[in-house]
Amino acid sequence: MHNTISLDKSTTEGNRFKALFDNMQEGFLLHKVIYDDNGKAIDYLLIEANKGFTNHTGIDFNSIRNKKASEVYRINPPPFLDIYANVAKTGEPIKFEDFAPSLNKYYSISAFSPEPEFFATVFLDITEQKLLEKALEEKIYSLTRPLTEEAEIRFEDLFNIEEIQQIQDSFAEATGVASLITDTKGVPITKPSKFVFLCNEVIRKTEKGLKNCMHSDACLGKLNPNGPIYQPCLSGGLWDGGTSITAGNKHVANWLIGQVLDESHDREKMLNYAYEIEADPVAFKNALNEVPIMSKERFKKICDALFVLAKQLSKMALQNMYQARFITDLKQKEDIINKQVAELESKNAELERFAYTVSHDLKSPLITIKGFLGMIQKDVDNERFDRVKSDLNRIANATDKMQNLLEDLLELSRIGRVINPSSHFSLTDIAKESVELLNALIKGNNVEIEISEQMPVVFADRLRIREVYQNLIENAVKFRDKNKKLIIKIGCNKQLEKCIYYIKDNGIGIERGYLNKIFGLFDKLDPKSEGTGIGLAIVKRIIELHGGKIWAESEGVGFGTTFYFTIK
Amino acid sequence: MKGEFLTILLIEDNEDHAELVKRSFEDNAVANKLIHLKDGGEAEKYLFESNEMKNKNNYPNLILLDLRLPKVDGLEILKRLKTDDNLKNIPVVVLTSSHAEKDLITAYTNYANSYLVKPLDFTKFTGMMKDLGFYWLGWNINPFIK
Repeated sequence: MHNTISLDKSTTEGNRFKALFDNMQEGFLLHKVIYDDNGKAIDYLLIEANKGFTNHTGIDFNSIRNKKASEVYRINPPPFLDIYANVAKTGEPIKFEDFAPSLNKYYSISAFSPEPEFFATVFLDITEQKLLEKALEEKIYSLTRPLTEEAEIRFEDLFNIEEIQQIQDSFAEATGVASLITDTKGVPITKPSKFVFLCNEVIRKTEKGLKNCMHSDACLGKLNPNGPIYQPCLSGGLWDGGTSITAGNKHVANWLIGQVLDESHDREKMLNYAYEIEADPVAFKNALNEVPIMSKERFKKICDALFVLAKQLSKMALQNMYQARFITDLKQKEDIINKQVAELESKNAELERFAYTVSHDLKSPLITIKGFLGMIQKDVDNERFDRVKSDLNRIANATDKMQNLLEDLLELSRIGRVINPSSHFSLTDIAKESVELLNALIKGNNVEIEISEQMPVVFADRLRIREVYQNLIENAVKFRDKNKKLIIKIGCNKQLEKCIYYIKDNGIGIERGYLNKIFGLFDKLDPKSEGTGIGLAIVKRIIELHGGKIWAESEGVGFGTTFYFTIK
Repeated sequence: MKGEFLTILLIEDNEDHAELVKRSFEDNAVANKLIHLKDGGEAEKYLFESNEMKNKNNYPNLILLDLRLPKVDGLEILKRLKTDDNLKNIPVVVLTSSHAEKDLITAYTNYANSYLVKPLDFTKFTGMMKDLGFYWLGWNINPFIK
């Protein structure tokens, strides 16, 4: 359905719409499709946009008004041409997501058609949402690796750090000890709570002091499943404690507390420590006065409480992990089921198409045979013999056609059933081999074939891939331009890690609108051409069995055809 | 028969079947003129682009349409015919070897005027062509087609 929207500024209603249009958060663009002489969509014009468009993209619309999309986006054909042309043609709205690399943003795009040949797109920036989804995916991934794997599990993936910080802060506040959570290498994960000036600004600022502190932290950071560790630090009077946090058998973090003075500490000894580590003695003394004092027993009790708390966190970590695993497991199973359902559906559809084609195409020659037998009978009864011979010919041709159809059908069903073991072979070699097998055909038609030496080695069914090349070369010879020497080029384009193989000819070409119809079973563009129309169906079947895709491109009648295919 | 100049447009890719239809009509003096279009592309060009079809006086009295056609499918042509304000009043009889329910339903949802399956039997085939011709070109009255 085509929905009409009015952007007429001369009316109040128009003004109201214009205001709404400009104030909407989404970007809005109106386009007009450009068609070629054959009515094929080839581009689209940018007609109108709202302020949201400029807000999202930073582009001033006046600079691109009434320009062709292919020029503005510098891609030809312009983005989503086929999708948009279809919207403008059918009036069926569509919604999809896209990533714009030039702007580094994700967009949700809705397209609808206000009137034939026009389409409008409404887009919204969904980058933030996409990034969140991605982060969640990564988190799930890191939590679901097998426990035996060497990879680390990060504390940050198991817990919400803000919540943990709150627990750590209130624990420190309630007990009067400094507190910090570090990873297994001693790198802080949380912000320190209640750290004392003495440790932070005096001792750790000296080389020897820092070294001693790190040594103590390392001792506290050992995996200690049976109880907390507590020990005086090397300063001579400060107590530190710690306990580990695990997820299953993985040590993921350490919760450290401390920086309190034992009531019985020896002040003289501590001041000596200032000299030992070469700290400023006055600053050391002042800072020492601010350090909280508590009994050794009380500190031990706090360490015990910390241990109980950390044990609970460890339990939660394991639960979080199992939960993530459970969800992933479920999702994986769902994915498998969905894939199998899709496969079954496509198999079913294929079978249905097959049965339909077979019944239709095999019935066709039968009608011819019975029909002309009847005609002959009638003509003979009337002693009219002039067309009996040609009618007999029609019957003979129809029986031949039936025989060919049956043979081709058997061949097609064999492809699905008989699978040769895969082997490694060079596509250059196999293309050359196909050419040799077709030697008579190629010599007889004076065909020039160029085969690239750069084609890679693949792991596939060698005989079937040879059949693909043979079929495609035969096809090129069959649909050659009789006024030109036929030149066939065979090679591949490398795109990223994927190779796209091609067979390019300068034959009669194919009208653009018919490019998808050529691969159908018994589909023929020219009913008078030789063969049953199964060759390309076989090729497609083989490529699909290899997990690949095949398609054809042609600039139109008279411009040759290029077949492209991929294999896994 | 009205004795006027009656035209049937036959869209059929199988030459033999076209010949069978043609002879059946000739033997029964059904139509004076039969235009045969050999595939979907040819049919599209003739119906929607040719000068012939720009003049309503040249509209065929009946279109016989096969479904499985090269280039453009018969159902696609039917859809275009029946959504065209000028052409939609020309009766379209689908004449196919397909028994498939899907084709049958799609044809009728796209306003085919009739759906016939080509009989295997010769007598039935010629009989059907005769009845078809008499019904659509003889008995049937259509104010839109001369």
